[in-house]
Amino acid sequence: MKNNLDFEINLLPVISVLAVCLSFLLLTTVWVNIGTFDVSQALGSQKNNTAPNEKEPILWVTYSSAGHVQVVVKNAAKLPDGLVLNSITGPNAKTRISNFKKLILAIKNGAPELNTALVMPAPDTNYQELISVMDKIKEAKILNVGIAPL
Amino acid sequence: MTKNLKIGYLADRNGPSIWTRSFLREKKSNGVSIKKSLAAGLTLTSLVDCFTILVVYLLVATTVGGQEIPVSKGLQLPIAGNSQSSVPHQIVRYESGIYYIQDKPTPIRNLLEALQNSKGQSESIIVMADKGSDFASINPLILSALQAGYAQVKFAAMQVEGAE
Repeated sequence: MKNNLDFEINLLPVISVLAVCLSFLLLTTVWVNIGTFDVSQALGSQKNNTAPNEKEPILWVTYSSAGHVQVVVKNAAKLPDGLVLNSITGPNAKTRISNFKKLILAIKNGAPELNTALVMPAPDTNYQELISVMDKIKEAKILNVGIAPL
Repeated sequence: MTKNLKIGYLADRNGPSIWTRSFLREKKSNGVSIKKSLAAGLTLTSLVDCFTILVVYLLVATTVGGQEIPVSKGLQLPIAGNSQSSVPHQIVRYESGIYYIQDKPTPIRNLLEALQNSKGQSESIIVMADKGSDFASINPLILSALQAGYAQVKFAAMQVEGAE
């Protein structure tokens, strides 16, 4: 009499458990992640905590009504003169953001101690463009980003 | 040989079960009957592998501990690559020219009062607005929130890696 030593694992319960797990995860997974942009404001109760020191380098990004962006770096002695005061113009927001990204990375390379930035939007500044500018500033490792209300 | 088969639901010791029998076809060749199985073997191992990979992927992709922020259908949030996961906060919204505090439409002149009333213990506030809005529309929300005593104002944005 031969004993059959081959045996088969019953995979049906495994498949059932995996199917239940899969269905649960598919239903509960958040596909669109919504995050928040933490900004320090130039007004209000947080003002005193985040106000930059007199000698601390600070980046000012000022919007004018025509979509013209002025980028000024103060208190950064080692920064080349060509990067202290710059203007960014462009036919559309995408071009301006692209130019701003290049400029901000160059500024950060020239002044690694720069850690504070303040954005001063104009009334007609597009919200997406404002968020993109702050995004690029944070991407350049300038972590204290502030916004000045009108 | 097929004549000797017993019809039964369960497997028979003396012959194939009803399931197996239904997939057998008798083929006579030179007076010898040959049984040929028509049942296609289903390989379940690869199916289990696929399921396992999907489950692991979904488990990794699932974020735990974040706040689920309800977004209106017509509201398109701005896109940012360096935003952080949100934690529970008070949410205010500007949509189609109307300000919403806790999902209640609020006139601009009552923003401060409404924010003061709904402040509670929260020190931070999340501002949600359409990406096509201009800053002049969002500014009253920021100013009112600061005057109401919120220590930090946050802007809601969609997290997209490598956003331009």
